[in-house]
Parts: sequence; structure tokens; C-alpha cells
Amino acid sequence: MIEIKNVTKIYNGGKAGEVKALDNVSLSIEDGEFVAVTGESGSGKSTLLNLIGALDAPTQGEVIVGGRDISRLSEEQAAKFRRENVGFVFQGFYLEESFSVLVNVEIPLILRGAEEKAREARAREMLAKFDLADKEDALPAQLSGGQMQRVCIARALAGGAQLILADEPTGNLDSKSGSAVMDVFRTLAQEGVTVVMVTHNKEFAARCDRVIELKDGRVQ
Amino acid sequence: MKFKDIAVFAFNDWKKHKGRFFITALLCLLVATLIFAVTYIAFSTQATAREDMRMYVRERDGVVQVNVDSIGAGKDEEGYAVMPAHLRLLEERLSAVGEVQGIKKYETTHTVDFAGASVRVRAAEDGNITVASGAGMEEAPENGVWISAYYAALAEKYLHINDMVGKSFSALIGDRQISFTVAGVLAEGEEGIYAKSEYLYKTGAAEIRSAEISVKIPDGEYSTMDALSAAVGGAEAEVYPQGGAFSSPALSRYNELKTASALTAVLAAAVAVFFALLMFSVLRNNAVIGVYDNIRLYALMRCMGVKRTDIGLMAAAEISVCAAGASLLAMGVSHAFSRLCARAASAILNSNARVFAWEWWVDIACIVAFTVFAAAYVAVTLHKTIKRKNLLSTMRREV
Repeated sequence: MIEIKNVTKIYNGGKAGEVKALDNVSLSIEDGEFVAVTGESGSGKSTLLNLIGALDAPTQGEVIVGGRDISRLSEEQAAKFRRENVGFVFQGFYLEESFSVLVNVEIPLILRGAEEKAREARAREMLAKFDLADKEDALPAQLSGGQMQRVCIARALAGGAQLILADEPTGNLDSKSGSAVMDVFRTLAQEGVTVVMVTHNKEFAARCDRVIELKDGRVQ
Repeated sequence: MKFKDIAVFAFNDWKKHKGRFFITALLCLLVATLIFAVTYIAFSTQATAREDMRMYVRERDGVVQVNVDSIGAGKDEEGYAVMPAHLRLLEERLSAVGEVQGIKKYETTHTVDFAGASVRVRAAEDGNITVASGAGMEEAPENGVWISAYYAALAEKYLHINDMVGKSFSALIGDRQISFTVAGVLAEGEEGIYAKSEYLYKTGAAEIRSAEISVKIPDGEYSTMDALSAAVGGAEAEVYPQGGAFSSPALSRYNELKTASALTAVLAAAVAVFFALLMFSVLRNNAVIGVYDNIRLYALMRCMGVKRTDIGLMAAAEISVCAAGASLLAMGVSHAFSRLCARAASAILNSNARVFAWEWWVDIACIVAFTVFAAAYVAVTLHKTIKRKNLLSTMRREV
């Protein structure tokens, strides 16, 4: 379960360019819930994702994930938290172009020092789960947008993450591919994975369990 | 991550992204070559300057001139030149550096108005003052002068002075009125007034306009030239505090060479720093070339739970391979252009000498400095970038 308690996030506090990205936000997300975060540009969506993913710390308030307050972690603790609990999915995929699909999915496992055989097995398992078993030797450039995003999701889950933070994952996809990605997320949620997805697409947002709309750093 | 894991990942990343790192290495090679080239030119300039000085002295068989110019300088308390003493001091100082082979003086003489008639102090044809020797000359008072029998007779005839010896007179010498005592009368038939040379100079009856001292020095090494410079400078400071009276073409060339080579070294250092900064600026600002293109992977790794420090180490290790390899190659390339470096040094100094010089420890220092600087620069820049607040927005926008 994710609990956001009275979280305020201010960038450049006390300086000329001070920005209040989140203003006393409180919300909670259940395990296995598929939540859409919407709002205009600059409304605080990415900031919220950053805080839930322990990439940044709130100026005030608490961010509790799985019963653990992650708002005051050291760099090392935050890195460990991300490594063990969080998978990121990006609009731009961020697949390494010169790595094969299999190696791309292996990256989180390589980073945690997993044995070659074990990580290849896990990567293949993930690719099979997302119908990409026949693409393991392909390079990202040889895949369609929808396939690339599925590789991205496989990579996010390869390390055993139970929380997916997706930053506009359908932004670069056509509606059909986007819809397929939404199906994947839905399936994952049913398996108990919590999915928090930032999106501008109202149709896709409506397919989530819940929509959190942000405006000027506040939940509407 | 353990250090081994970082190293392994960096190695694999390097292998996988040869293209990116090749571009980075190429940039490093270009800049490092320029840095090595200017470094070698600076060293070659120093060596060429030393060789030029050695050649200069060799061509003159080791004999160098020191000139003394009395115009507007070298006056004693009464306002008169006291050159002989100064020359002796300079000669003494120069003797410590080499063998003084000769002193050439250029003198002028004045007319002396004595006993109602204008007479000229006797001077030899070559311009050197000749002072007649005579009995008692050495024992004569300091301001004692000798007169010829002819003038003694004139004095007796018109001034009714029977015995001039021991008598004091006033005379106009140049534009000064001085007193003197007649020390003696020279043999009949000899014309002129005679005095001890020291007295002639003191009274201004004779002046040394300039002089040249020839000194044979052992070689044209900087240490010898330093000693020569110290001797001349020391003597000048002692007798002509205002300076500008002593000069030496050899010392002028020496100072010219030293200044030019020092300026070259400073300029080379500035150019090297400029090139290094330029390269890092390019690496930093252009996200699509070289190792900086890898930042997408580094940012992703942070999202995947790798510490920024580990990512920085990884990037540093990767860029180090580029920078070290490139600078090693650059060193070789620059060595291949050694003749060009020597020619540049020769042109800078306007010298016939042409020497290529380098130091192994400078090569090592350059490679290490360049590599460390590149690694630190990239690591720190990367550290800042992936630390940026709202990394996800940053990635979307920039990465």
C-alpha cells in the first residue's frame, strides 16, 4: 500500500525560481490497484512519481510504501528500495539500442550482480510473459512501438518489482498499441502488482481502477 | 554495487557502445594531440633557446662584450664621471666569471684655460689619454698638475712668477673653476699640461665616453650567462643605481631568449587549458556525441536502483579508457611531428638553432592529468545531471 500524507514538494526553496510542485497532497493506493494520475503539464504528476519511486524526497510530509517511510532515505537506502521494489516504464522506452531485447531485460539483474544463467532465464520468462519470446535476439530498432513498450515493462518487472511507475507509457504509441499496453497493466494489477500511471489520455485513464487528478499541485 | 560489478558493467557497456566511445576517444585524441603539441613546442623552445645561447658564444670563441656607456650616468658627488674606478670594479666582477681579455676606452678631452692661455690636455691620437711620467709625478698632490717648461716660461715672463712649483692656481676646465697646485715643470720643449690620469678624470679634463670589455667565458650555458648577468648587474647597481649604463649584446640575446621561451611556456599552458575546457564543454553540451550520449543509460540505471556514486564511477571508468588511450596515442602522434615542433620553436625564437625536446615525466603527467580531469569532469557533470530534481521530467525533456 502506498500512503502519501500531507506531502508538499517545493523546488528551489527560498530562491528566486521557487516552485511548489505539490501542495499538501494526501492519498493512498492499495496493493494491486491500477491508478491513473492525470493533470495538466506542471500540475505535479511527475513529481508525485519521483516521490513514490524514491528518486526525490518531499519537502514536507511522508511517503509510505509497503509500510515503510521512504521520504527520508539516504541515497544508498533509496537506491536499494528502487532496486527491490520499483520498476519504471517510460514514454521514450529508454531501451539500449545496441543491446538485444534479452540483454535489455537483463539490465536490472546485471546491476544487482545476478548470475548469467539465472538472469537469462528470468529475462526469457519475462519476455515469454509478454509474448516476446521470439524477439529476444532482436535489437530494439527492429520492434514496433508497442513491442518496445512491452520490453520496457518486462525489464521493469524482471527484478521482481511489485510497483510499476509508468510515466506516460502510451504517449509514443498509436491507440491500438497503447490499448495493448493498458491490457498488460491490467493483467499485472490482477496479479497483485500496483501500477501508477501518469497519462494525458482520458480514454486510457478511464480504464484504470481510479483516476487521481492533479491541478496546481493539489488533488482535485 | 560492488566495485567488481561496476567494472564488469562498465566494461560490457564500453564493448556494447564502441561507437559512442570511439567518438569520445576521437575527440580526446584531437584535443590531447593539440595539448601534447603545444607542450612539446614549449619544451622545444626552452631547449632551442639554450642551444641558441651556446651557439652564440661558440661563434665568438667564447668572447663576449660588455659595454659601458657614461653618457648621462656615472657621475661622482661633484658631478663628474669617475669612469676608471667603475671600469676597475666591473673588470673585477667579470674576472670571477671569465678571463678579461681587454678593455677598449673611448675618451674625450677638454681644453684647459691656464695661465691666461687655452691649452689642450695632451691626448694620444687614438683618443687615449697619455699622461707624461716625470720625476715626482707619483708623489704629486692629488690635484697636482705638471706644466711644460714653455708655459712655465710664459708665466714667468708675463705673470712674474719665478717658481711655479708648489704654487696654487685657479683654472677653468670646461665650465668649472678648479684649484690646483703645480707639481713640477717638465722638460723644455714639451707642450701641454700633464696630470695624474685620476686627477684628469676627476676634474673633468678628460672623460671616458664609453668602453668595451671583452671577457672570455667558458661556455654559453645558462648558468654561465646567469653568472655574467649577475656580475654586470651587480656592478651596475653599485655604481649606476639608475641603471642603463652597462650592456652586453650576449646578455641581451640571453634575456631575449629567456623571455621568449618563458612567454611561449605560459602561452602553451593557456592554450592547453583552453583546448581541454573546449573539449569538455563539447562533451557536456552536446548530448548526442560521445560518452555523454550514454547518459540515458546512466539515468535509467539510477531509476533501477544504482547509486549515483556507482554510476559516476562507472562513467569515470569508461571515459578514462577513452582519455588514457587517446592521450597515449596523441603522445605518439605528437612525437612523430617532432621536426615540426622544433621548427616552430626555432621560428618563435628567430634562431638558427632547432631542438626537439620532451620529458618522459611530462608525458606521463599529461596523460594522467588529462585522464583524471576527463573522468572527474564527466563523473561530476553526470552526478549533477542525474541528481537533478524531478529526474523523470529531466529524462523526458533532455535524455
